[in-house]
Amino acid sequence: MHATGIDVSQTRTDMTAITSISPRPANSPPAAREPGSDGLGWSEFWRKEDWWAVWVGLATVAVAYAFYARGGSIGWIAVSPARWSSGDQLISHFAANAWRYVAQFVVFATVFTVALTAIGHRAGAFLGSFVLVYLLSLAIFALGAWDKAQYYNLEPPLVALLAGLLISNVIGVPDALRSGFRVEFYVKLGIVLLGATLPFTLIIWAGPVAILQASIVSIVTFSVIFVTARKLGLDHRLAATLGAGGAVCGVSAAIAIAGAVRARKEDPPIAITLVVLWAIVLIFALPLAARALGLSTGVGGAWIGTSEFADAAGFAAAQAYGGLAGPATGITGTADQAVWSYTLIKVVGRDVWIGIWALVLSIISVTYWERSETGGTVEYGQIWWRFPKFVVGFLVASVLVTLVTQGVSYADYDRLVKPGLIAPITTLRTWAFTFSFLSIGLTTRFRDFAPAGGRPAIAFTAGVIVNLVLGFVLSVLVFGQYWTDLAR
Amino acid sequence: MRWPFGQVARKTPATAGQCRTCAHFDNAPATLEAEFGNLASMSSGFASVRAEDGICRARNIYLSSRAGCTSHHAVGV
Repeated sequence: MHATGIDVSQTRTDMTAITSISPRPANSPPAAREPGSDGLGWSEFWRKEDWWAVWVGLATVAVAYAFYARGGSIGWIAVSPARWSSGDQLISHFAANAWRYVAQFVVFATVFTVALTAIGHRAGAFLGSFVLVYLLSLAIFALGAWDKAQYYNLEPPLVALLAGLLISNVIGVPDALRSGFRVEFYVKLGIVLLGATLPFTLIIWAGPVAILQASIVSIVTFSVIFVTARKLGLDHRLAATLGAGGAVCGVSAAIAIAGAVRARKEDPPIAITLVVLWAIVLIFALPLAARALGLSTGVGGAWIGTSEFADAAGFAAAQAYGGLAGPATGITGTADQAVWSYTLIKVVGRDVWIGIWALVLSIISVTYWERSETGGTVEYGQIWWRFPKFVVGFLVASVLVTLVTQGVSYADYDRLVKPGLIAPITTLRTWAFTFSFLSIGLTTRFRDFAPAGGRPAIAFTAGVIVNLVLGFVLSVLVFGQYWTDLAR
Repeated sequence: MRWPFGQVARKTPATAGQCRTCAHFDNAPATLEAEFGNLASMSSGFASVRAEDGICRARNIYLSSRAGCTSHHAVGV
């Protein structure tokens, strides 16, 4: 029996019970239904978070280019704290740029409110919450710009996560203030903006190796978790949900596979608990281990991309590790290389395959695990339904910026394109990621974790260990030179 | 057009309604985020990967809105 009192080794829903299910009692509340859940169709374009991240991200790139093409820049609105060494400098910066920050907040708040109310959030609740997110992010940004921040290991992504965890679990946040903690929306927006700063030629060049490396690790990790879970007597569907959570893209994969294989309602929370706990541990552990091993930023990012679970968690670790580069630490490479290699492995190599995993596992589920159950259709369309659509925005942004900068000399790229177009987009991307890292901490409440039980924890941890070791071997020993040379 | 696994697809009784029109089916993103603690801390109920999956309150399973069973209870019936 499992800690919740649920027998996790139960092999299937008792189908004899199906015919005895009573209709919903007349006085019971109606089941909450996703608007238009009779098939999203075209409405998916304005009712899913992924698509809003695409629209907002691509619109930002388009506006940035429009300004750049006319000899201007969106740099005025893409403001962030400048490097400072004394409190006076910081105060002077804020005094001189107060209106820019006000304008930036208004733009962020307006755009995000439109996007999030379109998918079902309440505008008032979001706005109140976003004030908190913005102000905390501004403080974290300012701390990261301190010239002693690296010396004291005050990497902004890690500070954001810790601050969020502390506020959420020690101080507490009223539920009314939680609407603005949208980890996934912010990180997806950041990924689309990241596409604009990542040359498409680099994606083409490095993509195949990223896919190969990620596929090896994903298949091996899934197999280890699944087989271990089955050996421990866990149900097929829980085993698959755990396996996907550890092998593909964390909580998102776990929830996608749980739906594809018709997991018991208790299964996703078990996977969520294990994924989130391990992901938080690895956010801190992977940059520390990579630093101790003296890995270049490209290699460190690749290892993080191979071994972290959720996108937002991995970006926090990769950005933190990239921020360590420099003579003071002896870590070679650039901050961008860590984020780029991470993105190639995680987004291009792992995330995009979630629909395929869901299809394959649903076929196995329908044909072998629950043959006696009705309703067992194989839905080929889920390859697209479950496709993480923000990846489309990421690729389109990359293609657009690559095309408009085609033929520009290196000298002109550094002199004109970088400060006028790429740098402001990079700053806005960093804001989006900071909102996301902070929101991870603010949304993670330890008291909300479902008791996972010993056997799921053992199976998942076995996968984590294999994932870490295999990820290291591939990122450092097999493809190390490749990731070190990335974009050099 | 005949798909591989077409025989599997035919397992759904022709008369069975799909979960998306069943009173037992619950797939509101906010409800799922509330029900699955910490789902929103590293994913989202509003994400594309979730498609339209939801919880069958009658059988306590998490499944696609396109699934169905013989105990389908149409909304409003």
